Amino acid sequence: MLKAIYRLAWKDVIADFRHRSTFSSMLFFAIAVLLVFQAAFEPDPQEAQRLVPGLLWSTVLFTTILGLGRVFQAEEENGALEGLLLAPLPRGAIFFGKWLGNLVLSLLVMTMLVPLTLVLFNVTIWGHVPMLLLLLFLGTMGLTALGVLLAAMTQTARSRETLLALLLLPLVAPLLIAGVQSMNSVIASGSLTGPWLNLLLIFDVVYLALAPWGFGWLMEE
Amino acid sequence: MPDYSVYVMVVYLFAALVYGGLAWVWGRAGRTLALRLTQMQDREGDNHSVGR
Amino acid sequence: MNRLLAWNRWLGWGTLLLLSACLWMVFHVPMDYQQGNAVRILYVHVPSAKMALFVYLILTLFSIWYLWKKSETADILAEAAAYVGAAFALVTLVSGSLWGKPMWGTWWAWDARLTSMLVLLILYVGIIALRNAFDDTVKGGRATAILAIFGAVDLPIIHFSVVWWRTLHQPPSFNQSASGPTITGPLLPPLIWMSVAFVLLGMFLLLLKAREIQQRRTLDAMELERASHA
Repeated sequence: MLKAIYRLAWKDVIADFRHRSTFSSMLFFAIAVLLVFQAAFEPDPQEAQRLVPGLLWSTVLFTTILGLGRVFQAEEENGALEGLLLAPLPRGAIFFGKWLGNLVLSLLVMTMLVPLTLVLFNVTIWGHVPMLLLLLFLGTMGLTALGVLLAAMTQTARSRETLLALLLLPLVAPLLIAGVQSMNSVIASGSLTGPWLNLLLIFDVVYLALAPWGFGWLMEE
Repeated sequence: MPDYSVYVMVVYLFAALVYGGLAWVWGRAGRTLALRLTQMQDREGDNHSVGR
Repeated sequence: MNRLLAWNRWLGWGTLLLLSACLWMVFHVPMDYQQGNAVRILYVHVPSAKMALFVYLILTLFSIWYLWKKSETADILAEAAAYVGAAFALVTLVSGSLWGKPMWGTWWAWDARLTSMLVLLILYVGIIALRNAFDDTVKGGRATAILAIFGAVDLPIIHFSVVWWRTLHQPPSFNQSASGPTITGPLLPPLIWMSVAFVLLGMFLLLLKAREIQQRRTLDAMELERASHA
C-alpha cells in the first residue's frame, strides 16, 4: 500500500513537470507575491528582519492555495477520478497519494522561496535557514493535508477556487499563528522548541489523522 | 460618567433588525413557498396522479 | 417534523413575549457603577455569543447525524443552523464592537474572544457558501457536513492558539476582567432570562428557516419531476 501511495504521488509529480507545470506557476507566483509585499511595505533591512516570518508564511499560504486548486484538475478534466476510486485501494491511500504529490511540489517551491526572500529583502540571517525550512516543512504537512481535503470537497462546486481560499484561510489561522511565532523565536533566540512548535505539530497530527477519514466520507457513493 | 445611551440604542436596534428581519423574511419566504406548493399539487392532481 | 413546524408560530409569539419582558427588565436594572448605561449592551452581546457557539454545536451534531444516518431532516436542520449561527455571530461582533468603543476606547481589539468569534463568523459564511455552490443536494450536504465537523475540531485549536498568541506574545492591552465582565447582584437575573429567551429565539429561527428549506426542496423535486415527464 505504501508503494501504491508512492506511485500515485510520483505520477502526479512527473506529470506536473512534463506538462501541467503547477510547479513553475507556484514558484513565479511566490516571487510575484514577494514583489507585491516589497512594493506595499518597502521595509528597511531592520524592519524586513522583523517581517520575514509573516512574509514567508503568507507567501506560502497563497502559493499553496494556487497549487491546491490544481490537485484534482487533471482528474476532473478527463474523468479519471472515478477510475482512481475503482482501484483496489482504500480511500485513505488515495488521499495520501494525492497529498504526497502536492506536498513534494510545495516543498520544492519553499526550498527556493526561503533563500529568495532573504536575498530580495536583504536580510542576513543565513545561519537560521535550515531551521526556517524545517518549520515551513512541518507547517506545510498539515496545511496541505487540510488543503487537499478541501480541494476534493470543492472540486465539483461552482467557483471552486474562491471557495477553497474562503474555507482554507480561517481554518489554518492557528497554523499561521504558530508558524509565525515559532519563526520569531528562532530568529530572536535561535531556539526551535517551545509551545508554538508543539501547536504546529498538534495541527499536523490532527489533520493528517482526520483528513483521510473525511476524504473517505466525501468520496462515498 | 458619560451617557452611553446612543451605543445602547444602536445595539438594540441592530439586534432587532437582524433577528426580526430574518424572522420576517424567512417566514414570508416559507408562506410564499407553501402557497406555490399547494398550487402545484392542485395542478398535478388535475393532470395525472403521480405517486406523491 | 411537519407537526413541529406548524407549532413554530406559537414558539415565535412566546419568544417575542419573553423578549419584551426581558427588555423591560433590562431597562429597569440600576446602572453599573463602572460601565454606566453601556452595561445594557451586554444583555444582547453575551446571549448572542453563547448562542453563536451553541448553534455551532448543534450544527456539528446534525452533520454527524446526517453522515451517519443519511437523514434528510438532519441535512435540512444543519443547513438552517448555519444561517442562524451566522446571524448570532454577526450580532455578537457588532454589539461587541459597539461596547468596546466606550469601554476600551477602540472599536476593535485583537482580543482572543473577538478574534475567535470573527473566525467563527467566517466559518459560518464558508459553510453557507459551500452549500450554495452545489446543485446536487446530496453532494452539497455531504461536503458541508464534513466541513462543519472539521470546523468543530478546528475551533478549540483556533481558540487556544489565539489565547496563547494574545497572552504569551505581548502583554494584554486590557485587563482580562474587562473583556469578560462578571455580572452579579441585581444585574444578573435579566441576563439569565435573556439567555433563556435567546435559546427560544434560536429554536424559532432554526425551525422557520428549516421550513423554508424543506418547502424549497420539495418544490424543486416536483419541478424536476414535472420537467422529466414533459
